[in-house]
Amino acid sequence: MLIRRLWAFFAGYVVITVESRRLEKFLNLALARNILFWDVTFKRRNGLTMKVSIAGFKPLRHIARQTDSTVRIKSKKGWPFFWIKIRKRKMLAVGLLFFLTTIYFFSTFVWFVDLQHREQLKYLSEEEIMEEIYSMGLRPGVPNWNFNLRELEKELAVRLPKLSWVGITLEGTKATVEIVEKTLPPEDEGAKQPADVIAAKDGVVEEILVIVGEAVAKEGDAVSAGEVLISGVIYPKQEESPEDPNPEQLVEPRVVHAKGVVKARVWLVAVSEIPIIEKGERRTGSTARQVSIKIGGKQIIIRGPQKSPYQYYQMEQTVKRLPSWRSIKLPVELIINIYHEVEKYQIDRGAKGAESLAVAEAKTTIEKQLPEGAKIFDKRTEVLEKATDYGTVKVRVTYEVLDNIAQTKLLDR
Amino acid sequence: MSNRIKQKATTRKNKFKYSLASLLELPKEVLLDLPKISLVGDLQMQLENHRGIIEFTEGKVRINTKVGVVTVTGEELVLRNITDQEIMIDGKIRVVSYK
Repeated sequence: MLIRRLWAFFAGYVVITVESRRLEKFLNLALARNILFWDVTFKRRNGLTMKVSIAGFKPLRHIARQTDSTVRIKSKKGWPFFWIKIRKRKMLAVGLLFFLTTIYFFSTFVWFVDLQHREQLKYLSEEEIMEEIYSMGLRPGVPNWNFNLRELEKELAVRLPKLSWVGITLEGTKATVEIVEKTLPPEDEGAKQPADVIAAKDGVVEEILVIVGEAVAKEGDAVSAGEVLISGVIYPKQEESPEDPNPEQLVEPRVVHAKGVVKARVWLVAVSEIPIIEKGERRTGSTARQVSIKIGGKQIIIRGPQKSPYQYYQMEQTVKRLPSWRSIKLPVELIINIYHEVEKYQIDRGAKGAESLAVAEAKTTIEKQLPEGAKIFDKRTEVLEKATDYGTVKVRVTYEVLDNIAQTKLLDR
Repeated sequence: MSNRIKQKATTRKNKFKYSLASLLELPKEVLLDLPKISLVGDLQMQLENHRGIIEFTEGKVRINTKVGVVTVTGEELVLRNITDQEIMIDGKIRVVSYK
């Protein structure tokens, strides 16, 4: 019906009133002549209104004469009449065209530059960044076709080295610059403040080298994480105290920024669990693409299959929406579904195979944390669980290595 | 008029056509050139295979078909769509009858 109505609009039609004593005869003759008419509404005795196609109107007059009917045009509708109107008012058409081309032309420019950052800016101000962006050529009023966004991103990151990431997207007339600042190490202002050296992790002290401060831990001590190894608070030597003229006066300890290297045996532990029989899915590489438009609640598939052509598949969905303006959201969405065919697979490793895989996995996780050139004393592997009920093998791998566990902690007063 | 229809329906040719249509499960309206009426609730009626309009007013539409006159009574009846093949009537339909 919609198509018929659209067709009627484009072809054009006239709404007419017919008055006749023989209305039925009039209608039948019109039918016999294959005249296109519709929406016949009874008005009063011997009178009705109906819609006739432009092509059908002329022969209708002939029929009217035959049946002694009077035909009057009530209104003319559709594109052809509209077109005649436009031809009479050329300036209107010119204005319309001008308006459309102007809109199109101006939509190819960047009118808004928006700066977005998820976190509070620490080193740079928004003005500074905007100034930099403007000076690179991305400013309101420039045509959007003569720059390469990827190049601009790189250039902005080079110009402002305190940025770790820059992303520029262009949506219509709005350019959005997203930035992330680098997290710079805190400036070395703590170097002069009093501090202790504490243990970063549990271990047995092997070697302790004090640069500044007073050693608290000795070689061979077992220390736990957080324990003070080198104190930044130095009390004057005992024998000085008796010579002090004023015993009541409290001896002020000297506070320093303790420094040193504490090497200790530490244990690096990694636990890894591997199923004996692994089941899973992997993509076979063949994909199917489906493009559809969603209008309101209706979804119309434009291209691609009706549903997934594969029995097992993973679906990747991208939804494209027209940019929303204020709170108005157009209920039109373009949905692209990509179906990736997957196949199920099953690997039976056997208990031994699973174990060796778990050990290897645990070792690699440890070796990632291993300081460079670390001295390894011992490597131990233990199978924690061979619960075949669960179908997994769990292992724990422990490395005993020599590592610097010194960590500076500022003294709070 | 009803007599004439009976006569027609009982001719041997029509009988043969009817049994053929039944046997092959062909649409009878095509083989026997009969009107086919479909109703959508009491809102819309579609009649295929008509032979002209006999009467049209707001409350009553009479349509000629091969098996007689189909009378539709109701309120605010509008001929939504007419071709030489089919007629679609919109409005509040009360009665559809053959005469």
